[in-house]
Amino acid sequence: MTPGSDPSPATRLMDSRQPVILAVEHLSVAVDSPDGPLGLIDDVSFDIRQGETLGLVGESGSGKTVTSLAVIGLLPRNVRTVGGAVRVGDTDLVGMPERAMRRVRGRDIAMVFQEPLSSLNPAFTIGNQIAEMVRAHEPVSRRGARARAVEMLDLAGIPQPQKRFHDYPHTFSGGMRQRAMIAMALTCHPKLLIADEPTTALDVTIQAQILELLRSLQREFGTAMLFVTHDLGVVADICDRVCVMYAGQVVEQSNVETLFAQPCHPYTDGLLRSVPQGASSTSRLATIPGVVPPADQMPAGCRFAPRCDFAVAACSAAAPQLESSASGGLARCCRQHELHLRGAQ
Amino acid sequence: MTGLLVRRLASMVPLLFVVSIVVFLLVHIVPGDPARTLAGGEFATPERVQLVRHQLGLDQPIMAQYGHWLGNALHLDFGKSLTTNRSVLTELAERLPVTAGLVAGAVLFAVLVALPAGIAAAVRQRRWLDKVIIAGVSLGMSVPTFWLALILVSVFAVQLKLLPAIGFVHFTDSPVEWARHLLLPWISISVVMAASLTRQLRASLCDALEDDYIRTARSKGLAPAKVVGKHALKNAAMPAITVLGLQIGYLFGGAVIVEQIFSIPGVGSLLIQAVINKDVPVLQGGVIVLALLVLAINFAVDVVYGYVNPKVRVA
Amino acid sequence: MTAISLTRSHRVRAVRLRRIARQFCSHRLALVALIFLVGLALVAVLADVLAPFDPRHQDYDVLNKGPSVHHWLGTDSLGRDMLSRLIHGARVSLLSSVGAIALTLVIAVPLAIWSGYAGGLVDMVVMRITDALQVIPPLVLALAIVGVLGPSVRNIVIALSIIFAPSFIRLVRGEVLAVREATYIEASRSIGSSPFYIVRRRVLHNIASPLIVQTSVTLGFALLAEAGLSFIGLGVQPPNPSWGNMLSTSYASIFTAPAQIYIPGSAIALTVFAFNLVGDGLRDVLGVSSASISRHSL
Repeated sequence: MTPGSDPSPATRLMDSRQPVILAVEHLSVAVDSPDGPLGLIDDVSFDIRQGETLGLVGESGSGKTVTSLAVIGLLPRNVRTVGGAVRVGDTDLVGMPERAMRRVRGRDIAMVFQEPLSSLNPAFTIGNQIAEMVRAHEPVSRRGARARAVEMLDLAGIPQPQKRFHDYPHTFSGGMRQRAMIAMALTCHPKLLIADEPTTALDVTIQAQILELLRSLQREFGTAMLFVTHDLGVVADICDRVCVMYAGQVVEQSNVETLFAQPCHPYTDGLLRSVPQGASSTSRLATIPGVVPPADQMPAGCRFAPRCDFAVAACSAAAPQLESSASGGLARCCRQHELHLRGAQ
Repeated sequence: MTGLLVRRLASMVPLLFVVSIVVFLLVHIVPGDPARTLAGGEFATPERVQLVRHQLGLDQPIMAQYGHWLGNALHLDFGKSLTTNRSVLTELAERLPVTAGLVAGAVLFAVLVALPAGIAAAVRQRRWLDKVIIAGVSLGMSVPTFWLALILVSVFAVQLKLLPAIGFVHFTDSPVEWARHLLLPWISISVVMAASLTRQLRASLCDALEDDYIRTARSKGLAPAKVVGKHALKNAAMPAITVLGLQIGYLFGGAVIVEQIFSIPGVGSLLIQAVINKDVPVLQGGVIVLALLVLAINFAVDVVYGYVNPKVRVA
Repeated sequence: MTAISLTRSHRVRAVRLRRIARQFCSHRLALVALIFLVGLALVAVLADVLAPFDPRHQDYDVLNKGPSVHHWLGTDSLGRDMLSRLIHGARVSLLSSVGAIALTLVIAVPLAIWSGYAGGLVDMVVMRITDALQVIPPLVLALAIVGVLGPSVRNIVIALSIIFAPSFIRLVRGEVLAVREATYIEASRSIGSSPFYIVRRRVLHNIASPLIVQTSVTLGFALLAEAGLSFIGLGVQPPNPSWGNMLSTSYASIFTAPAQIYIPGSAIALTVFAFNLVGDGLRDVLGVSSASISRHSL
């Protein structure tokens, strides 16, 4: 697992001169419960620039999916954004009326989901579902929409796109379905693509293909991407920058190379060490003992302290803030400058 | 899909066969001597009993009787009515389109009511509109069809004098009058089916709206009408269509009594007359015809279901 | 089973029953419906005592009169007291529906267990007949049966039990088939218990809940069916009252006394409504999915 395997590292260096597509500022989301609102994510901030891929990494329960849903405004019925802003261009999407949000979805921001089988409507053909996306946002004729859909299917690497236009989702293989979903999402050339664990449900060999597809389409359309995943291997493969989340908060933010070489937060360190190194079968797989605290049982101080190898009394006393880290990014740890974390080495 | 439908049709043949046996045996489940009962019971003279027995072929061994009857039935000869002496087939052929029109209209009414009601209830789940619709559904399923028919006649025909209380006009004579005479019957028969369709549609829409593809549809920026009316509805329609097929038999029950109330010359009122007059051949023929109609409607439901649910077609 | 485990299972069952009862009582609507039905049953049993008049007594001075001090619900076209007829009609309607369902259970449950367990030709024959019975519209079949047997309450009960039997047979047989395959049958057999006994016990245990719910719902429709058949004249014969034939008499006077049809009609609708509510309440409380219950309607 070597970071920086992206064939054009030059793109990354240009990042800082690209315009910011998405700016999430101090976003907080809560769920309604019988005892009042429970915080799911707390004070999450990050930017994504044009053509850039930001990884959102964490275990299940870290709040990464909630964050991605909050950005596109598809939170479930009893979950609400309670603070912060989500800026696309100059507009803040938080609190935007639903009708205006519908214009943003699909056209400016699109999303690809984890399970391509259940995320596609089994009662309609793939072509129908892609074509309706076009016609929802652009004044195109039925024939024009169909041609666009076939074109997208072709770009997504689906063989015989004209024929497969008329096929139903259940006749596609898992990898093909995900390609179709990606094609569908990018049909209207959105500025931002949110990918929520798009490869998790797929075979390893197919995973690589899908990641390659995402990269090539990103290059073609200049799309920014918010890539949500728990798999650090995938992060190394496709992400330019990374946001590590734990228990609803961002605990570290950094370039992908720096994150792997020089993690600044004990949680990131633990994640890196728990990834299998491939060849060696003699050493035991390191794990982070304990579980993510549930939303109604958040510790008062540092949320990771109960599971942290380096925790001291001060950690549980006061909640740490996000500060600049030694590697040039951000880290939420009061001991970050004392610790010399070695990550995966 | 054609393969599936052909197989469906093929499976109906043995079913019809068993139905014919059941219908045939109807006469013979009577305790005592069927010929005597049909000849008038204790008031029958021995000569009359003998006559009836011979007329119905009851003096032959039972297998022979069945074989004889079945052979005739396959030639569409159901014998002659014991009351009018006309061919049973002719009577049924005259009345079948009437009943078909009645039932078809009632189903259409039921669907036209259930669609908006089911959608409204599912979309406004747990709010007051949903509760009202659920209460309406419970009531609708409890109201006797024939009582509803009487109430409608009382209000619209007797008091308001807007619609006719009885009678029938053929579609070919005057489509408007045909519809006017069938309007109250259609409404009375359709209420129960509308209630159960609404209930089913609401339930399956609520389920469908929780599915992942709805989230995808929303993420594409589609209007809510499209999300519910296209994406959710097509999936929710499948169980509702199944319910329609299952309950069609019960719809016929209501139709039969309604035909009697409104003096509609359909198979149902013929059947009731046959029961009162103990006209066995007509009874047998009528039951078979109605069973056939039920099977035909079930087949049509299968076709529609195959259209709505693409996964079934490959099976 | 040891004595200790027997007492424990009895105690567990008692606790579970109490919990179910408590949950049902919190279902206000279902509870009200149940109380209504119990009250109705009492009325039916005590009909002779409660009815102010003889339901067949005709008083020619008060034909088709509305409610009055003497006749709380008025009189019909032959001067008979509506209230007394309603009360006696309750007896007939409840008896025929309960009788029909009871007969159905007595026939269908053992038949289904036997058919499902025995398999082979027996099962095939039973299933074919069940299928055929379900293809014929139920009321039409009842009509034909009563028509051939002759109009009477007894024959209605027989006819209804035949038309409702198929869905019960399906329900029980399905469970028998599921249980028959279960591996613990093998285990029990190895201990020495008779497999049929085990199947029967398991099946009855598993189907108890869906069977109760289905019974409650079907009771409502048995009532509707009896009323329908009586309305046409195939049930209780006049002058004896049944809600169905009361409706028919009232309809004959639709021009002179248009409100009369609401009396027997509401009685039927309310009672069926009550059966349905109880059925729904039981379904929620017993945790039965609606997929396992077949819905009838008339």
